[in-house]
Amino acid sequence: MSCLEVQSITRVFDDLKAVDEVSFSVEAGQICGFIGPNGAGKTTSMRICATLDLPDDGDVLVDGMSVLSHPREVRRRLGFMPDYYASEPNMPVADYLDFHARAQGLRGPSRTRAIREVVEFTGLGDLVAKDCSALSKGMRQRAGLAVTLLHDPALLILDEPAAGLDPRARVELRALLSVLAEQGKGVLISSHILTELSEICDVVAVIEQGRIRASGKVSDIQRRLQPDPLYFLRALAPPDVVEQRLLEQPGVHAPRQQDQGVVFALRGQEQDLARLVHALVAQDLPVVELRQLHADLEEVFLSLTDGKVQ
Amino acid sequence: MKRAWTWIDDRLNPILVKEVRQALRSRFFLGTYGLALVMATGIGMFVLMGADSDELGTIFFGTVYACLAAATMGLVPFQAFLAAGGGWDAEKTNILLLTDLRPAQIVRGRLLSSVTQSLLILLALLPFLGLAFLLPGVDLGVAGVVLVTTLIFSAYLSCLTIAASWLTSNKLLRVLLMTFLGGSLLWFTGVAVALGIEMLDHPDNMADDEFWWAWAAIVLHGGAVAAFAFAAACARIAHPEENRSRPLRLLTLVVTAALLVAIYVLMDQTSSPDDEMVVALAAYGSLTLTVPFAFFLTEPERLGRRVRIDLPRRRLLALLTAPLQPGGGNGFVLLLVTCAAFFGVLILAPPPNVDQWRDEYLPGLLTCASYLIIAVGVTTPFFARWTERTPVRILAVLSAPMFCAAAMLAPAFWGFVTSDRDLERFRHVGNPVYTMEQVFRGSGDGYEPLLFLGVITVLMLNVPRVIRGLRLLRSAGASTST
Repeated sequence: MSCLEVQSITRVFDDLKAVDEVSFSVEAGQICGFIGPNGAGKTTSMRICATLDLPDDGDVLVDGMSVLSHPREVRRRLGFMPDYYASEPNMPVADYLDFHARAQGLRGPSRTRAIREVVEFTGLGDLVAKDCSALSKGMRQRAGLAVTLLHDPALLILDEPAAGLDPRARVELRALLSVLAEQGKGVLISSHILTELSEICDVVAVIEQGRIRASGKVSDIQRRLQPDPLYFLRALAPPDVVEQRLLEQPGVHAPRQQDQGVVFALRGQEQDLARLVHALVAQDLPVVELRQLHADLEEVFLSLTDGKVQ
Repeated sequence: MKRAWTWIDDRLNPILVKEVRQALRSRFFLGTYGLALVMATGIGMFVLMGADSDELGTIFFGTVYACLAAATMGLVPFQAFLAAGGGWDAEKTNILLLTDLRPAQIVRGRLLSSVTQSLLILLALLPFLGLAFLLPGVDLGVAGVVLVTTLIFSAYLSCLTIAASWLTSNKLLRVLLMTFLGGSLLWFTGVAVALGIEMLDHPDNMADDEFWWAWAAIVLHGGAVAAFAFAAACARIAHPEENRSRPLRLLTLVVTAALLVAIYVLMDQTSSPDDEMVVALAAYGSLTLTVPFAFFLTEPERLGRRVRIDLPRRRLLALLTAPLQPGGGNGFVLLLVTCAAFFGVLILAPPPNVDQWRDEYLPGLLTCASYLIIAVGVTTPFFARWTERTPVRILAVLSAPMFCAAAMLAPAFWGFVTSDRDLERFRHVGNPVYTMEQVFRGSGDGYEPLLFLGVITVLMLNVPRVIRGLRLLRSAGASTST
């Protein structure tokens, strides 16, 4: 069963369709990157998944529970970390966690244990006595993550968790999320930093103008966008000559010059690639570099979206 | 002992625990606490040095009480307003709603936190109050009543300010609201201090039954207003797609039932009840109920998705829940059901020992209900299709008092123009107080047909939206069952 199942949700604000029949799912133990330009409908979709908003049409199931009919059960199964931090003045981190643990209905020893575990997991040990409002951005994110983990949710929804973090804090956050996924939690994470997501996400959902443009594994999306593998070839010859020679070969298409070489797509199998190399060498083209180009999240994102906002 | 404490600790409202912890560390509370102590000490000493020995206790207690009232009825409710309103800025309310807490728990937590702060301030001033009892002139009973009443009203005021803090997130409106509340709390504190000192000066009043009736009426009425504020605050932070109206509607039914009980009690006192008291109670009751009904009758005519899911699956049962479902049409159904239930009970079980019941009191109460129906039902149906938009809804709510004011003032103005002394002095059907007095005295025959006509007109005006509301319920109930 999916940890999160978004079933064709639509949300309209006045005349604006912020979310338009959006569907995707996240399995247990999977990290799903939710990417899209500003105003694409990411936060609205996430708020709906977190029961803070309701779709005008469609439904969202969290661990099999509907956000429409069982919002309280859904809240017990998910941890939502919004893109803002609710600073609490005159309150040490320990009290902050204690308050949220109480608010989640944790009692007695189970509350103490939950707080101890999340403090240990997020590395907040030295900061429990520090006032919440005095925490650095990175530490606030850790405190926020600790709060979302207190009731041991099956699904984590993180809205821009890496925004404003320094490189070290990002690396640490990434490591924490990987551990959580290994523990079997589903994670839905939105971020603008695509390189960040590409390293930790198993799957992505790309949204633009309220509609899902593509979802699934990055390599699968790339394959759908570009069915034939892409190669980069550099030879000791001017790139336009190389491009010309390549176009003469069977199966080669969509060549473009890049970094002193040529990127091209080749229809066929590995034998066809071997035949191509043989033919080029036979034509006295001094090939010095040939490599296959792999799917890149940034490329996928750019080819799927055109930067329009609603 | 430890187990018992853990048991209690686990069941404490999380918001209460958090807010008390925060308040005890905050400068605002420590400042208020310290200031109350310093003022009580300083002024008390000053009074002790200069006052006449016979009144020493009264003056000393009055001075300390003024400090206590200023802190518990002024600063604590104001702090509740600031603390609850702070949630808008950082969207803390959203984060709270993601926890296991229900809106009522959140509001209750904030309220309990204010009550705890008031109790702490009272505890700080207790030694001074104790000293006052040792001085001549202080009646222990009166002082107890004054202190208990102060704490009760401190809680009521906190309820109101918490509800007010969730009215709007607009910063300009919040500043205006803050100014208005600050002024109101200051005024209320002044009135409370004056009343408290008056009670201390005349302890004999407490021996009179009427004093206790008045005290009970004020405390109960304040409680009803605070309960409405509490329910409104809960409704404000509940999800818009949920039935936010139901608790308020149930509370309205409870308040109506309380009004009915009060009328019975008043009539049961003697075979010839005090006319003016019955008139005042009926008039004030219907006037108070105008406020919630004005809100119910201007609710947008739509059922949220969660409301639809919660509807009974059988169409008939879904229709029967109409008075408790959101929407102006359903609000009108609630108004009719409330009136029908009120008079149903009175007719089936009339108050005993009251001879003139059917001739005077029943027509009088019917007149009150007619005014209530006309006040909220004439203008609101014209806005029904557009109340989804907030400005239109505000206009729709305001249209009810504006209509009432126009109904009172227009004939008076006409009387001024035509030199009709009766109209000029508000002796006309547009003035509910005058009409009710006439009807209760058995001389309002000329007004009853007019009021009846008014009620029939209101019924006709509201039929379309009632039908629309019932259709919505029927179709939603049917879709739930499929």
